[in-house]
Amino acid sequence: METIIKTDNIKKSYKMGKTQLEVLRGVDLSIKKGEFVAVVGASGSGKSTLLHILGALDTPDSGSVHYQDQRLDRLRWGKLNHFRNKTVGFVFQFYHLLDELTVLENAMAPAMASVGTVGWPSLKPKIQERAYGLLERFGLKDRIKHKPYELSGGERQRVAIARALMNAPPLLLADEPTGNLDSQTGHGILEAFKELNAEGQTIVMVTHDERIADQASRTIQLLDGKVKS
Amino acid sequence: MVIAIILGVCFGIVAHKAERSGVIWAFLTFLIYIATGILFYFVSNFLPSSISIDNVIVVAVIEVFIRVALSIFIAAGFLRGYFITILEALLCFRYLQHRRIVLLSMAAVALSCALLIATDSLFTGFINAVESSVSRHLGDIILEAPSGRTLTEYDTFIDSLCQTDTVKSATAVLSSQGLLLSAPGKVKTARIWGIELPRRLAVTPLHEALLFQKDKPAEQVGFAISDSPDAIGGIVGIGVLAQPDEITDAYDMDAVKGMLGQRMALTTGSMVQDRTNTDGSQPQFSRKVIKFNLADVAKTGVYEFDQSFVMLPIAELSKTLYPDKEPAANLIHIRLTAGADEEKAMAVVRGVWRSFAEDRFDWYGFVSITSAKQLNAQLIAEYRKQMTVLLFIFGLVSVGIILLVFCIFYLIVMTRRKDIGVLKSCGVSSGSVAGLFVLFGTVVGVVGAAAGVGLGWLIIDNINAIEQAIASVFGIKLWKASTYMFTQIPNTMHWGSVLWITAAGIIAAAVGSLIPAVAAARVKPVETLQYE
Amino acid sequence: MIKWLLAWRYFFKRPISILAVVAVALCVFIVLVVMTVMNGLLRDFKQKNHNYAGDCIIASDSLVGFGYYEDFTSILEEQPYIEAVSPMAKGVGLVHLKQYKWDSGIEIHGIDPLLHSRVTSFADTLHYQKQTPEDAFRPQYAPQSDGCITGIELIPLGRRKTDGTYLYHDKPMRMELVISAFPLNIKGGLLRSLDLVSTKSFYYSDDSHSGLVKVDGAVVYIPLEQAQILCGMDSPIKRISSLHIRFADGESVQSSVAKVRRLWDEFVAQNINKPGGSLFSNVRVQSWQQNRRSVIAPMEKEQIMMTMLFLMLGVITVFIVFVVLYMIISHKSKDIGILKSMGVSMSSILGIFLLFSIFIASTGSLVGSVLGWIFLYKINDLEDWLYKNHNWQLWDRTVYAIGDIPNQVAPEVLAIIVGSAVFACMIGALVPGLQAARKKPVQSLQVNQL
Repeated sequence: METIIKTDNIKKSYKMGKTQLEVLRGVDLSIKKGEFVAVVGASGSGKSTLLHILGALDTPDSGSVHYQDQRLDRLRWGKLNHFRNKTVGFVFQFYHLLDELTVLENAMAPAMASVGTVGWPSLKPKIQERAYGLLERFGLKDRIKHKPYELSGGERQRVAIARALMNAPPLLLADEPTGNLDSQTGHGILEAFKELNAEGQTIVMVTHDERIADQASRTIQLLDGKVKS
Repeated sequence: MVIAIILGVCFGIVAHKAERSGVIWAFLTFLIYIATGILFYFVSNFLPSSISIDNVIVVAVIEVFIRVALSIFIAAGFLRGYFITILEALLCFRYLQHRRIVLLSMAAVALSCALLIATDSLFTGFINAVESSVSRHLGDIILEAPSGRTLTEYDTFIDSLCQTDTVKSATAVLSSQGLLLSAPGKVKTARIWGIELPRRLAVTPLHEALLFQKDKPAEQVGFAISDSPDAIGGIVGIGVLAQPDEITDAYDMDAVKGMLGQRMALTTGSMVQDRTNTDGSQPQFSRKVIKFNLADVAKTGVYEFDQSFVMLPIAELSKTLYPDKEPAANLIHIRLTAGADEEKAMAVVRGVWRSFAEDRFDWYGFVSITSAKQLNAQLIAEYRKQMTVLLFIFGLVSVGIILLVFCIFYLIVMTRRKDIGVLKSCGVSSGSVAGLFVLFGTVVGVVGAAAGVGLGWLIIDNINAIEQAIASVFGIKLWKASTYMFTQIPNTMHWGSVLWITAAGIIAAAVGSLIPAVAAARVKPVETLQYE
Repeated sequence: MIKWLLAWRYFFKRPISILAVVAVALCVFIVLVVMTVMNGLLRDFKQKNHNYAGDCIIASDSLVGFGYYEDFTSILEEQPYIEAVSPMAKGVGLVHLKQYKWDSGIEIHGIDPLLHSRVTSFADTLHYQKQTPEDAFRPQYAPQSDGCITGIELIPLGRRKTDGTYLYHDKPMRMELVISAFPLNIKGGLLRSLDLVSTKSFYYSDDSHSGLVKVDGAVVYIPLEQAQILCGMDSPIKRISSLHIRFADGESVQSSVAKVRRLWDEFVAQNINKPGGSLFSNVRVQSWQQNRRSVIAPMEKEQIMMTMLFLMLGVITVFIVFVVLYMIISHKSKDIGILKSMGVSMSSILGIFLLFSIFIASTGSLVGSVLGWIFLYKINDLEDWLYKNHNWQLWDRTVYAIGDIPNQVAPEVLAIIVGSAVFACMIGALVPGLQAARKKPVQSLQVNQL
């Protein structure tokens, strides 16, 4: 299997007041296409930071991140945005839906972000169709006109997944996607992930729960900012 | 043109390459647009001596090129989505719908626009009223004999004036200072005018100002007194006969109407003039008294005129003042044909006067020929300055309002940090995020300014009604003719200034949203997405 | 103590509070400058009117005037609270200036210059005879002739300079003014029906510069007896138009006017049946404010209107402070939760934000007032400079009879402005402060608050 994303000795530290906090101390990992990887570790072990770096939301202090042949940490602004928009899809613990937009609009947002006002009418049917399809798949068909705050936690997370998949990104990144849900709803979300993975979707998921991590095809454990082998 | 297209394409390529799209680009484009305009303005207005005509043309050509290029770029940009993506448009629209505080900022913009527009319109209206009141009531051009001189045979002069293309009508006036005893114990100084009635009506709107004869056809308007046909009749300004009420500023019409036909005494002085006495002594000065009956009352709405004018038939006044001379006048009021050029008309009047007066009067060269506009030029310049000062102060008020808009936007950005983080994680560029807020600001500016124009228009259009309402509710008459010269508040909208005020309002709101927009662009998604 | 500490920290740690301070400073600056100038002009104008009219005026509405004034004057002069009394005969007349063949309508003021100078600041308005008002009507070039004093704006010789002062010659020029008036009998009709108008020549002896445009532009002072003759006030009973009274130093104008009014009512009751007694019905006893109300009121009204407009500035300040505080509170809601969990009371939390707004208001006011004071201190220099270098004057002195721009900051005005600024800020802080105070600690401590 070909490697989709690969990190090489990445380090990252934050300033907390006067002390320097080293979060990642040289992480090497590679993820292959079609894998469902769970990153586990205690809180503060740098899981989320790693995920942010993988999704180009953050840059490492040193080391390199390769997406296929591209070096992510060297990308220019414009390319970076393009990468975030087209290559990765994010699912967050707290869903992070936009309250002003409806479910349908939230799902369409990534597609809309790259379309001009004049081009919109011609592209709208296609984009809308895809969003409908995704929402229908996650059982949200009769919720599309609702606002996020009218939904339950599980429904919100499914909207977030639909949004993440909108631009059909090769890489789906999830940060504690079940962390805020009861176990039954969380299970439903995991099932959805597994289903997606079966269709060939590469998924990297961060969690602190070993049982959830067991559902993934591979588990990477982070300890003190390093991958525990 | 080709260069312009190439330039436009270059702009497009730069914009595309940089991918820092969003309204920032539109804004930059707009700034370049304005800057070229300002630059060109300065170049063409402030450096005329150091720059030859050719260079000015070159500059103009360059300017046109840049503008055309920018226009092409803007058109293309909208097509390609450089300026605004559909997501920005949608979010902007939704933010506008869902934030009550947005209404506040719109109201702030609206209020400052309305304030500036109302002030500007009021002042401009007032200045125009000052300018036009003189020309309406005294004619476009006024010919005045030097003090102490009179011109006879004015009929001939007026006839030859009217034969020119530029002069529509003209009338002679014999003017002097006087004292009027209108009722027991009521003495007022007055400006006494001997006028020619049918002709004066053609030059000025005196007809419609007459209280009693305004409905009569013009030919029948006269000085006749119904009871005593032999008596001299006189038309007196309403303010000479009565004082306006302290609170309502209105005249007691019944009392004024009751005075019709009353006998009044007028005194004025005259010099037995135009010749030195045979023994070489100064000409004798004497006071004359004329008794007349009130034939009509004039209410022009111009305080100064209503307060001071007493009009008598020119023949009668002339006979009293200069018993041994034929009818004389010392003023000619001239009305020009519509659209006539004032400068040219003055030259024409001067020419006609010269050929008329050269042989008749040895003082013909000392006559003053002025346009009504020049008469008030200094006063008007002063009003303009006051207007500028007031607008400047209100401009400062508007700066406060921009600060407010700025604060509100900052608040919105700060409470929207999570949304911004989400957008960025979806691949929306910082430029687009900033653009979203600048667009937001611009929309607030546009809506606010439009509401401001509407509000300003409402105020100005109904200002007299508003003022009356205030007077009746609070008993305070804000607008008194004695202070502000006219009985009516000028209520014409000055659309010329609406344009720049609106533009300023929109730009101000957009500028006010710039810093918050930059703050938004600098939001790091990682920080805002950790917690909900 | 924690209240002070937190308010202080918030104030310094949040750059946005600078914005609020700037807004407050801007408002205070503008309002201070405008109010000081407007207030100064108004105070100046009132003072000039007081100087012109004296403390108390017993005046007839009618040009016919009233009689028996000498009797009443002697009553008044016995009163300890009255310093001086001056009669004035007013009339409306025509003047003809022979030299310039110039005519104008005028107001005739017949006075005794010495008496009038004791009651009003008449002597100070003169130029040549400032020190010797008793000789005011004696032209230097013809001491035996009847003199007259013209309001400085009356004869349009363009003597006002661009800085608002006047051009004077070393000695008064020789000018003959022919003054005419209708002599009115007691009933207001014409007295001498044969030669209806009385006319007399006077010689210009001095200028009077009261600073009131309407007075300086219309009044000619002549000796009292001459005015009475011209206006028909000499027979059958001697009449005048008004009595001007000056109270002794330290006497309250209001109560003294009331005393004079009582005296006058008594006097009228005794004399009403004498010939010409009916004229008393037109007479009013007024303080100078009442007497000059018709000229002062429009200016006061204008000032009120300006003040109303600038109230809007205050409203903007309220909103800015509101938004700034709202912003800070939305950032600090966790702090509030912590404070509450420590047992800090609601009123203390409200107190923090009120205190914060007072910090903003006082800093802003301080900056605004200092800037305003500096600006006002230099305003006349600035105007001079603008005039010299750019030929720009705020008020063109050839059009407006204004001297220097008033720049004395009145402490009460400053106090009002600063007070309103603090008040406005506190109003702005009230809503977000209350909102913060009413927050439940559990709500704000939950993680789902940013």
